[in-house]
Amino acid sequence: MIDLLFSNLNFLTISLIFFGVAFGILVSAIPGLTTTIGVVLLLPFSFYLDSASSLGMLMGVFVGGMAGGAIPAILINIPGNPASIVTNVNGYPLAQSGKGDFALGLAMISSTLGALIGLIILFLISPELSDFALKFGAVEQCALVLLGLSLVSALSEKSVMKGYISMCFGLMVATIGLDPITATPRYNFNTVTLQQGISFIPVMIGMFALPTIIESLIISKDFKFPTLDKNFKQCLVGVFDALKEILQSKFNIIRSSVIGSIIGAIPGTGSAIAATLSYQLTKKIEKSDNKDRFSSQGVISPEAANSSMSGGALIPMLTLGIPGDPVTAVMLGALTIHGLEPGPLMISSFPEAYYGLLGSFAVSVFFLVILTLIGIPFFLKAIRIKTKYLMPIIFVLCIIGSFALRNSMLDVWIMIIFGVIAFYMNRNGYPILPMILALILGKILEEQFRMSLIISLGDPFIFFKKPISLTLLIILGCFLSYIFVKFLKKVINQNKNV
Amino acid sequence: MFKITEELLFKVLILTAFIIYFYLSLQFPSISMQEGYGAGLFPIIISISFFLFAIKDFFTKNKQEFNKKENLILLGFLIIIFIPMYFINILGMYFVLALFLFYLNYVLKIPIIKNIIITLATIVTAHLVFVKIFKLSFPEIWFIE
Repeated sequence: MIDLLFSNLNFLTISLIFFGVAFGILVSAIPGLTTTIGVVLLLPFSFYLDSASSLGMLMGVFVGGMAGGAIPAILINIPGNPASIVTNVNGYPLAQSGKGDFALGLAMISSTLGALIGLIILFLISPELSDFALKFGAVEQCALVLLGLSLVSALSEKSVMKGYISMCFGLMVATIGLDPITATPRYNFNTVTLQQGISFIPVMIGMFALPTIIESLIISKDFKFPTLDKNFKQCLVGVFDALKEILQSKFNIIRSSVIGSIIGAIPGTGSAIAATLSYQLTKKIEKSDNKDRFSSQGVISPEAANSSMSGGALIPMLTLGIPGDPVTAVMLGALTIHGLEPGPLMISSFPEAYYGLLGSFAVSVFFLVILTLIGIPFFLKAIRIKTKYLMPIIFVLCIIGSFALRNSMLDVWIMIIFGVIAFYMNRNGYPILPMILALILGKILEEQFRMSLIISLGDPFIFFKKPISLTLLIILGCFLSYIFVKFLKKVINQNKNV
Repeated sequence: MFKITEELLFKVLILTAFIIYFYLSLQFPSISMQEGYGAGLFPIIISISFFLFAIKDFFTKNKQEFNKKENLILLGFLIIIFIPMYFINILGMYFVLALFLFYLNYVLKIPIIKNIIITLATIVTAHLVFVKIFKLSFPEIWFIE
């Protein structure tokens, strides 16, 4: 079995995997360009390459892409892709306090370890995990998404109420476009352009980038991005400190990676929910008075989860022929180009291709370590350019990044409008993360919710009749009760003080 | 009596958005599937939850004062951005991006020569990366077919 892992590797394949990882990091480090776009761009090369080389290259993009999104999230507070949607919450403040090298080290090493754990899970228990994932039908997926959304909204730092308002606003925006079941146009004001709905990518770019740009350009002109005046060796010391921190966070890495792999194995959930769920769990479990230690855990957890998710997402694709996310859907296309049929018989029918793909994953993880660790001082150097030179360029990149998604100016308008909304939301204490997550997951939630009702012929108690969804709803209920009791205690204390 | 603050205005906007959303969600034709509901089901559920949270939030204390100067500056910035964007199909993407870059560099008091160099270098790099490598097609200026 081990022989099969690396039997397809030759110089060309290894070079293409290396190129794929570098390309994946680059693509996802540019806000607006996602790992999916990176994989799609390289897909045409599949026609000219043998299966091992082309799939290895795409695997490299997949693995590199999951890690690369953390770079702009930590350095300029703009997540490069949905997978790094919570990395900036703790990563950016670490960079602001002069620990950019340390934060990037944490993100990159935990990404690598997460991917490695995902690979081990994929190698050892993929058939068992795919059986478990198959139990997640519409009802269970609906409960899972609801749990994820509620956790994120309820744990908003400023106000739980504002967190939920932000979430509802995101869900409202997610309903714009065609209804997923009956294809009825909704809130499109009789325009064709709005019928396709509002994509979360321009919203994400606008809501994270534009408030910073507005703040720095027109409100307070002394705004500066965190810079780091350290040389290569000093940066490596920061990375070494990150390694030491990670060695002390073994449980966080393992827990987050397992969550990532399980979420990845459930088709249709995606990296954003893997990262946020594991982040929220870490926030609850890892209680530390040391703020830096707590911030470190907040970077490690989502990065380990989103990278291990890439291994998890391969499980349903390879063993059931069901892609777990858009990237694996494109990879499924690449497999079929080469006449390979993913499904329950893949391991027995195409053992070389199956284990070859796992081998490419392992090599990608190896190159990820090298590229990211060598790259950290260069990423930090890029940010050393004065903020006043960087801001206009970031604004232009935001416009191009939004436009690039669908070659549509509508997305640019959406980016700007939501950027302004986010600016006012920030000023008035409404968290933006629940809104973006609700926009990403809103469509899945509605589709699965309606499907559940169709399956049960309109019986809403279906959610309490299935064991997995009942368990998830009990967890949600316990959590909401805890938040409510905490709120009541606060009110009683305030009254006592008065 | 409510004191007019930015936060209060923002809350009024939220409630207005809710009313419009709720009104529109009642208008959908009820092509009901086997579940017995139509396209308006999910929006109505969101509207009800949204209303409950928004009304509770509406009656909490407002802190953010209305800063007229900052809001006017933001409005001016948005007008400067929106006008070229509206005419992008006539002016072309490169021209509009160059205009934004030049304007923002000017606002940030970058010397004029440096400003021109940065603007041109950024546009050329954007062309090479996004058009040549990523094969995007930007809106062109009106006289280019």
